[in-house]
Amino acid sequence: MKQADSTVFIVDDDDAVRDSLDMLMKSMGLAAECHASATQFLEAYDPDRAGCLVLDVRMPGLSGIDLQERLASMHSILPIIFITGHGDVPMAVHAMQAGAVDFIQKPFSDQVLLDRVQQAVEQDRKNRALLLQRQEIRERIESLTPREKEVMAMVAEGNANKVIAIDLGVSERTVEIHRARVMQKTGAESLPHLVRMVVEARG
Amino acid sequence: MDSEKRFAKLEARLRQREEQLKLTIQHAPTGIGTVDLNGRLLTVNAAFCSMVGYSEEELAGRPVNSITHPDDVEMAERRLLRLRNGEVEQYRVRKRYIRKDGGLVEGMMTAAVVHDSEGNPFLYVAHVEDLTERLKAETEINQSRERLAHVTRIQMIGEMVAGIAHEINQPLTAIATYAQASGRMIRAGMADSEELLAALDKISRQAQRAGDVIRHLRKLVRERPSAEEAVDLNALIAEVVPLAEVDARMHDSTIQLDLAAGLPPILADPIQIQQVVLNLVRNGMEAMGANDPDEKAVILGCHLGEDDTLEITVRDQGSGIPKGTDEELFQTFFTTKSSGMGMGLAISRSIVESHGGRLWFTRNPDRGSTFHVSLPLAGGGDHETG
Repeated sequence: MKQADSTVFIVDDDDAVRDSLDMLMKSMGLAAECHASATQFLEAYDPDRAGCLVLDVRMPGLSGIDLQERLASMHSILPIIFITGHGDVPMAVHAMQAGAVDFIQKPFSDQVLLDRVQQAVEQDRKNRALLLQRQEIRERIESLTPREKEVMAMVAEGNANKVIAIDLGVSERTVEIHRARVMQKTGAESLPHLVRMVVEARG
Repeated sequence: MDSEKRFAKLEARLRQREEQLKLTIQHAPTGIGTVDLNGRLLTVNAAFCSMVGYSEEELAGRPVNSITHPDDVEMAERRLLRLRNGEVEQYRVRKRYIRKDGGLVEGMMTAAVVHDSEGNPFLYVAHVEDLTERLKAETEINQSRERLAHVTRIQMIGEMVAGIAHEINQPLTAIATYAQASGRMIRAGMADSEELLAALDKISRQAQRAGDVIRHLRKLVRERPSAEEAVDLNALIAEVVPLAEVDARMHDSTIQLDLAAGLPPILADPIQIQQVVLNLVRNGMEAMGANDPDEKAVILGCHLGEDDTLEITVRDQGSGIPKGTDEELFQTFFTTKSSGMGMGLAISRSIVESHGGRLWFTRNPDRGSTFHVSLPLAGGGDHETG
């Protein structure tokens, strides 16, 4: 299963709600991890762990909304599904604007919750893959020499070797050598591929 | 100076005085009129004319009953007769007139009788204040006050409901989730009976929890925490009076006090007891809605009762309590009024009983009812609660 290394983090101060959610996730073959408070979750928080967060809005101490803010300030990308016991519209709007995936009212249909959880986990997996890819590209670009980076930028802008040679005051042959090294070091298979990488790295 | 000249001068001064008097009456800001013993208008001033929309000429000689609201004619005639018979020297009464354009004028009329030199009734003088604008303003104030009270109630209920909903939603959520997870496990063939039994056990415990929330809530409603302190009942009543007088003005009613001096204190939550008194006074005023203004007093009394108690009495001269409704009267949602929820007496009785006291009523020998609240004296031996 592609979600095998994803975890559904459940944060709710109500023991029974938390425990029943844990059982529901496990019945769907999802790995779940429960926390009784936002603080407890933050102590165990590891930004590299994938999955999603099922978060109760109303909790003593740090509320669900507070936790969302803390995570945002830490640049967390973990998707958040809020669950709430009462239909507080302004709070829901606020949470959604702050990037929550969804806002579900208790008691909820298991199907609705599971659908959202699966969507969120899938989204998180894609996001992380994308980030990883971007990270790799950046690292490859970082391995280029300053001159190679210059050549890469000009190639990506669509300049011909002849033009680059004149601009940099070197021979066309030298440009060709730099260009070959850029393609080799970045692993680009073609010019369009290289352009995509440059764009991605800026992303 | 000869006598003829002196007489002429005197006459001129007299005429001048008369003219001044006429002008004063004519331009008085309130309506003034004279009526003969047959009930026909003799003279009216400008304010009266503009009040009822007729000219002076149209009114002269016209029966006053023809511009009186039909429902007030009988009362007006009865009053005039008492005046004529010398039973009263003057009276003041709310009276409605019908304008020439058909509109209604709410007036406060003061009438007196004028006697001739032999002491026989000769004509009536009436003085009429236009209350229409004032009543309209009062009605508006009253309505907005009621709307505010309603909004406040709704808001309080809303907050309470949100709190209760949250408390009950938690176990319901857990129950639904355990049940759904169990169902999924069974369908997926991964159910082991130990695990399912555990889930069933948890479900029943959560159902129990939801029940506890409701039980706790009912207890909360029954036994609201109250702040009991030594209370001087007469002082407490004195504090209620200004509040009740706001209502008294609306009902054109008055409050008379009949308080025994030197009463010992009782142990009570003053706010709650004030609510009870205010509620009883309001009920009394509402029961007298159909009475004449001088028969609309609520008599609010306080004196020593039997068995180490103080007794508050609220006496009205109203329509009285229909026979056969004695027991229902104190039940929630029972009301004889067209407006109102029927909560007042039920709540009042539960407040009084939570103080170890009693609330009951008696029918007055003449008319109306008296509500009695007896409350045990502070340190006056043990009393039963509940």
